[in-house]
Amino acid sequence: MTGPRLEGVVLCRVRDERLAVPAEDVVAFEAPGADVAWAGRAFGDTDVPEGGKILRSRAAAVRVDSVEVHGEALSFFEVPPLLRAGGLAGFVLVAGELWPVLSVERLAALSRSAA
Amino acid sequence: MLENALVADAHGHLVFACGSSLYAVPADTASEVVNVPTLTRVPGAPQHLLGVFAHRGEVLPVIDLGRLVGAATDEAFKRAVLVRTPRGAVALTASRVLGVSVLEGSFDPLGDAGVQQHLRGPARAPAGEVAVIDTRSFVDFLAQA
Repeated sequence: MTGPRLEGVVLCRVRDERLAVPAEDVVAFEAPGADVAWAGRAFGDTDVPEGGKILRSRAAAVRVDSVEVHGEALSFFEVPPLLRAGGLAGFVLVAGELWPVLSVERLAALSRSAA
Repeated sequence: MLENALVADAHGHLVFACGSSLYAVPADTASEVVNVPTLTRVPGAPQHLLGVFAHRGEVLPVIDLGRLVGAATDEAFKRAVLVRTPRGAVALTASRVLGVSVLEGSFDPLGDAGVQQHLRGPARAPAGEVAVIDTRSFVDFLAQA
């Protein structure tokens, strides 16, 4: 496929939802334990599970259910004009599915504000 | 036709149902009717934004009109009307698509706040009373909602 590509993302699962974080944004994966917001809150899910992984950037941290580092270049889509105020960086296409791309800092902020 | 009635325009409007209500968009802004695949939800999105899907090389947001106007249903929408405006494209959930009609009646805003400012009417199509979506201001409203 031609068009913009994005190389190096961390694919995150939060219940049935999909999220992608630029790999360069992540400085550490940590076991849960600290008081870190769970990303499911950003989807309105209030039934917070245990476990998962913490993604930490230089500025923020957020907990997700599972992570997978994806090193291949992926097709990248720009954010539709309607969603530009939401802080998304775009979308990547993985196995026919769209994954919203956003920074750890933005995801953490969305997860905290919805809590 | 009533004394103050208007005919919307020579090109007509695409009329569709969402739940028990009828809506219309100018036919020249409705680019196609699409089947809605499994959606990707967007973090932090309002409830009326059901998610997005990829279509012909772009990402399209899907808006549940019922939730937006406070008439949500449990219906799982399988189709949507794709509307294009200078502020981008948006897919509006549709239970049924009734086709293009020339509308008559009033085209005044249905309210002075919220989404009602961007719906006009009451207008009439052969299928019944419709709320006409002012697509440009409607999409601007969605971008700020």
